[in-house]
Amino acid sequence: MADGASEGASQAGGARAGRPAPWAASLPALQQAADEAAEPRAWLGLARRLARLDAAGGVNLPGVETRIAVLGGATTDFLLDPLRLALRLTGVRPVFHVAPYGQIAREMLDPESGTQAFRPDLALVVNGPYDLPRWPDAFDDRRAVEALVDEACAALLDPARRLHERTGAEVVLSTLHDLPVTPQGNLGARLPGDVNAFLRRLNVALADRAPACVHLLDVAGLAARCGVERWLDLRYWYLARQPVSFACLPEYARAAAAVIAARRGRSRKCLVLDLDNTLWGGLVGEDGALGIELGEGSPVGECFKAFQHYVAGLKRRGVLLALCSKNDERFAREAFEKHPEMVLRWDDFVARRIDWGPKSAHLRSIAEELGLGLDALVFADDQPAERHEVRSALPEVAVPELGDDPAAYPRILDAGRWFEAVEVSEEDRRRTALYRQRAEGSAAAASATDLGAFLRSLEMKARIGPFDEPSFDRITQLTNKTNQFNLTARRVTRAEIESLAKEPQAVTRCVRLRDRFGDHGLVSVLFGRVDGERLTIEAWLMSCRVLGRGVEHALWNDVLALARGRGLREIDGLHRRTDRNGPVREHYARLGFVHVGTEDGTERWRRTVADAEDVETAVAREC
Amino acid sequence: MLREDAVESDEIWTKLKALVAEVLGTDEVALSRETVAADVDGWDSVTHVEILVAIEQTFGVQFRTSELAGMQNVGDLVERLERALH
Repeated sequence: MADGASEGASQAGGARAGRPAPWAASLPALQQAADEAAEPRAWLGLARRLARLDAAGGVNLPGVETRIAVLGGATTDFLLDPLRLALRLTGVRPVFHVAPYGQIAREMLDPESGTQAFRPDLALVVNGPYDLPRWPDAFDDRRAVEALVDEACAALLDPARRLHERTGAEVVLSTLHDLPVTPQGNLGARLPGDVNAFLRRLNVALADRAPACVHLLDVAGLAARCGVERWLDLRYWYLARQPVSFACLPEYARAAAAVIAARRGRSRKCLVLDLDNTLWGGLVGEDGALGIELGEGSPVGECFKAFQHYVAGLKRRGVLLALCSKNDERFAREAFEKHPEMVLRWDDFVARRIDWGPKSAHLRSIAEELGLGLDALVFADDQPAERHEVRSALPEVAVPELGDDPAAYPRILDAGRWFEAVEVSEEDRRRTALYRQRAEGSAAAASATDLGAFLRSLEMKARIGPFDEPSFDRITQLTNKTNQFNLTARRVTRAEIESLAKEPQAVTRCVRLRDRFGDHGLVSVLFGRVDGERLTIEAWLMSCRVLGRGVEHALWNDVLALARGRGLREIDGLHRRTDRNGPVREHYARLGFVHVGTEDGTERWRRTVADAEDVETAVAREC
Repeated sequence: MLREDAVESDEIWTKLKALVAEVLGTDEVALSRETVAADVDGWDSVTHVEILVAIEQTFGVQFRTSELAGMQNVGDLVERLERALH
């Protein structure tokens, strides 16, 4: 009854656009509506209403515009509304292009295809076991199976690479979920040519071989968690090529959105934790450091220990941890130092607020101390009253409904997908140490009577130079995730960074900083292009870890010297305001630039080289 | 499964209308046996599947693939639903 051309549901309706929609008034309101729509059908209903409102221009929520081409060997229309809701919730405003059904490779390879003309930021490929070109015979030997693995990998990865080379778009591919049945039964586990043995081998090969421009959406893991039989209803697959059942669609959409949001710098950065009944059972103030329930010996103690292991795992890949607890700090610290089953250490937390003040005020000050926005925080607390207080005072902070069973804490925190990362750099792994240095620096600042003396006492040394190959990944990552000190908030792909480094008219600079407390790594990026006698700075950004230390002045002096050396007459700086880059609104004005005009929301500021002087800074140059 | 006598035809229509309206995100929807998807704003290939799944959940039935495939209008749908219930 509804076969034939499939129009996305997002195109439907629109007549109701004029109605006020309280749930679409702000991101926290939308998040609350989504939380309340716990059942898949209700969640999907919300997704549909949002899509209609959006199509009618009735949604005015902040979001990074992201052009997403959706390609698939299945009916991808099923995914669009759910993806739109899940992406909106992460602060991404999607613009979709739906490629023709079943044309994955062609759309990516053909320079004339609609997908390429669309100029996507990202291509979401809805691939599954059903669109594999060839399958092994169950009794094929390992070598024959490997040949088919090579073939299937190449069929997915080669077109993705080509699309990236041509358009700069990055590609999200899915791992392949198991089929619900195999003719081989249990024997299949021992046969390389069994359908599921083949799919699992293929997933490993994809992970090994995927280039940096390809991100994997772990559908195999999701489907295993939901149950493969629930994930795909074969009747609806045969009827309408529905790739994911409605029951699992919200899960799929949230996972895909998390990967995309991570790529757009929208992941959260810091987990703020309560102590009593959150990290351990009982009250340390009453039960004593050794009386709390934690670790082997009690089922509840094991729950809390497992949760600490999960949190420690987040920390190891770069998520910052902070404490916010109504407690006596002496007892809390004693528990960390003395309890033999404690997994987390006192030093794992980059900020601590342990007293009886309101938690919302503490979260605000933690964000300030770490140089993060409130929307970079997640707050985990077992007390409903505390969660409520934080939610109402600071709607930007994510506050999961932790529930009252510690066995579920890891799953509940995980389900929010707030800390998704598409890559983990050496600097991510060292982040806690870097922030601790920063905190020590801040403490020194508080004791120094004069700022100049404090900054000089840090003995900062900068290495400033053009983009170099080993830094391409870090430059891309920093450019895409920096929100506050970022003049144009321009997002780039690794391919763009690479081509800028080669372009003769481009000026590229990156800054590495170390001080007496340690090495901060690559902390600032600038690039622009020379046209005649003018350099236009298109992007200038800096890690919030080193805000207020004069690194930007060292970089400005460097750019100025470069301009003088090339005989340039003027330097233009571009600035585009976002809801998060308030700290740099006056950046060019402070450097003596004059505002000369605004075009499409981008301000152009100008400085004449001849009358510009070096700015004093405590950051010394190493080279 | 609901008891045979619990599901009168009227009740099926009332529930069906409410359910279609819910899936389509509208307040009310006019349906008759002759209604086809093209007559209803928002009833497309995607919402069609969602309506079928919602019917299965609400009425506690499971359609066979052959029943899913050959529906021409709402009358077909109701007829299959009644058959599945009895």
